[in-house]
Amino acid sequence: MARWYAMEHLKTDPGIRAIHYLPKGAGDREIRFIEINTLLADRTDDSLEPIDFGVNMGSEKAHRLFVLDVTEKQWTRMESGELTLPNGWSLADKATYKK
Amino acid sequence: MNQYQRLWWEQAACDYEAYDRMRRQGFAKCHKLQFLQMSTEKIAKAYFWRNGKAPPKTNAGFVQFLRFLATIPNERDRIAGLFAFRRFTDFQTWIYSVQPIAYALERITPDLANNGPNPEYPWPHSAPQFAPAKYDFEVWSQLENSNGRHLMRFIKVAIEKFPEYADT
Repeated sequence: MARWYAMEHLKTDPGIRAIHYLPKGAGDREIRFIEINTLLADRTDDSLEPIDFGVNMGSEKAHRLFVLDVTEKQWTRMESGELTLPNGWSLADKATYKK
Repeated sequence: MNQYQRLWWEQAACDYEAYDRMRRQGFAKCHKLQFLQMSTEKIAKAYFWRNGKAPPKTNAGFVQFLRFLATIPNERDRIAGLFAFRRFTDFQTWIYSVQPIAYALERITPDLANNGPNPEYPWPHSAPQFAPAKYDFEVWSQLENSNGRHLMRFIKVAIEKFPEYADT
């Protein structure tokens, strides 16, 4: 399902260069994405808060998609550990999707 | 639609009405853009309140709103139909084509303008050389082209028909 969402997001937003799927520490019905976005305005406050998008909530198919859009600069700083990830998120075991 | 969504939707509609009145009365582009941007930010937040949890506080959100709406797994034909598309894939292709305008609209907020063109304050902050009042915003030109006009119609419909997809 993560791959499906990633490919759909890449297909519908020209700003997204790559999507990193972060499974480590995520719940069973939780998908965490960091989406590297070339059209995003540069941020100065570095407030990294993902959007929590629940799908089919209250049903058997319920799942949550967390998406954090970051600029290329922010991603570089994340990889080097200079910029902190959202609480509980980890880059270990990440899978990357590109166009 | 939950109570939080309703409040954000009401404010989005109110901002859009202000934009529409300004447009018909020939107000300066800065004011029209400010209210148009605010209405898009708020309809996005109304949508993201669907889980009953607060979305991020940032002024951004409209581009994510378009992205999520264009990638929902359920009721795709119905959503496409709400926005006058016959097929969901056509809707997705169209969203892809207008996203650059949506990003440009989002970037005019003072917080995201990086000390550049914004509809509220003269810039650059330390030694202003431009005022929004008479500035010819590039995004306004983009909104007046074919794709831009279509995006404007989409925004209007997204606000008017919000109850029909708020929980989708």
